[in-house]
Amino acid sequence: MAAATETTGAKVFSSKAKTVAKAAGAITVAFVAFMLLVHSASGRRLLAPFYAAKCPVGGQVTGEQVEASRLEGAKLMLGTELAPARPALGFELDKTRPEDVRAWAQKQSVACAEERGGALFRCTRVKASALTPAIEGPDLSEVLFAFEPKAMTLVSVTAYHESVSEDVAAARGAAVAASLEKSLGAPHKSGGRLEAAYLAEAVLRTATVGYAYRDYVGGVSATKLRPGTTMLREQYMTGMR
Amino acid sequence: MRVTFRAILSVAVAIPVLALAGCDETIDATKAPATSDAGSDATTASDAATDAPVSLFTRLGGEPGLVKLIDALVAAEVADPEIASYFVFNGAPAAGHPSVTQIKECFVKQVGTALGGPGFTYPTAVSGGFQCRDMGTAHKDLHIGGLTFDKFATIAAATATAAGVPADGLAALSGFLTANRPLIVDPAREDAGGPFDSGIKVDSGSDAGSDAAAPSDAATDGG
Repeated sequence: MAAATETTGAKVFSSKAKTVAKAAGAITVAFVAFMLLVHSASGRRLLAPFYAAKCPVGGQVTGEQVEASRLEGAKLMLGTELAPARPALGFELDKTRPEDVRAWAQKQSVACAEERGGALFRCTRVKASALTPAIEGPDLSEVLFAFEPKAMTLVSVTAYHESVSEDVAAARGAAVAASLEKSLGAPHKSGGRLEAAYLAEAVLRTATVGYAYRDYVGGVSATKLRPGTTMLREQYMTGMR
Repeated sequence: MRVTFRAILSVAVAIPVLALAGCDETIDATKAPATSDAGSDATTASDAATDAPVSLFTRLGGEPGLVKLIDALVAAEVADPEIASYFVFNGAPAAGHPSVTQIKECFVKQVGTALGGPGFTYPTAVSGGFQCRDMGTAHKDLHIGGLTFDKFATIAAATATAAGVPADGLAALSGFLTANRPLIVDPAREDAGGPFDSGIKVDSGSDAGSDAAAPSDAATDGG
C-alpha cells in the first residue's frame, strides 16, 4: 500500500514537474519572441509611444556623464604623435586643479561660477593679460575650465570672445596662432586667414588653425556669425585618458 | 526527475542569456554602416557624362565625403565641454534616445537631401529603425540658448573650413544654420548660453536631453 502511494505520488510529482517544465519552455519562447520584437526596427517603432513617454532622463546631468560624452568626441580628434608642449593659456592640462583656478581667479579678480559639482568653472570677463601668453586686447567673454570629475584635474580650457568685431577677433586669433606655432610648429590643419578683411567678407567666413596630437588638441578659430558679430574660440584639451 | 530539473535550470539560465543576446543585437544595429556610397558614384558618373557644373554634393566627396565631414563635425561638437552636455543621453539608445551614430546618420541624410544628393530623402529612417525628425521636434526639450547655438555654429564652421569645404559650402552651411536657428533655439533663452544642466529644470518623465526622441514623433510632428 505504502509502495503504491509512493508510486502514485512520484507520478503526480513527475506530472507537475513536466507541467512546470512546459510552462517554463513556453515562457522562454514567449520571452525570446518579445525580446526579438522589441529589438527589431518594426518593434521599436511599435513600442515607441510607450518608452518615449517614460524616457528615463532627469533634468540635470552629472559631471561624469558629460565627461564620458566629451571623451567620445575627443578621442576622434586625436593625432598619433606626442605633443612637444601642451599650451593651455598658462594652465597645466592633467595637473591644474580647481583650487588652482580659484587662486588664479582671486589673484586676477576674475568671477567664476562653478557648475556640475565643481567639474566646470565658467569665468567671465577675463582680462587678456590674466592669461598666458598675455595678449593685448579687450577682456575675453568667457573662459571655461573642465575637470575630470573623479581626479578633478584639468581636461579642457575653452576661451571665447563671443561677440566682437572682425578686427578684435583677427588680432587675438593671429596672436594666439603665432604663439601656438612658436611652441608646436606648423599647424596640423588650417583654413582661411586670420585677418579682419577676410573675416568680414561673408557670414560664416571662418579662419582656423589646429593641432592634433595623441595627448593634446589645441587651436583657435574665428567665425563671422552676423554683421558686426564675430566669435573667437580657443580650445586646449588633453588627449590623455 | 533529474532531467526535468535540468530542463528548468536550463530555462532559468537561458532567459537572461537570450535577453542579453537581444540587447547585443540592438547595439549592433546602431553600429551599422551609415549608408552605401552607391549614390555618390552615380552622381560622379552623371556629372562627368553631362559635363555639367560639378555639384557641391559631388565636390564634397559625395556620400562618403559627407559622412567623413559629419563625423569630424560631430566629434568636434561633442568634444566641447558645454555642448557635450547635450549629448549625454545619446549613449543610451535603448531608452528611446538616438545614439550618436544615429544622430550622425540623420545629419548625413539631412545635409545630403539639402544638397540634392541622389537618393537622399529627409526625414527618413536610419540604423536600428530610428526615424530622423525635423530640427524643431528634435531640439524642443533641450532649451538651447542663442549663445550655445552660436558656439555650435562656430565649431561647425571651423571644422568645415579645416576640412577644406569651399566657400559655397560654407554659404550653404550658413543658410542651413540660419534657417534652422529659430527651430533650435528656445526663444526664452535667445541670449543665454551654457550647458544643458545650467539651471534648466525638466520633468524626469520627459525625453529632454535627447537630440531626437521617439520614432513615432516624426509622424505626429510632421517631420
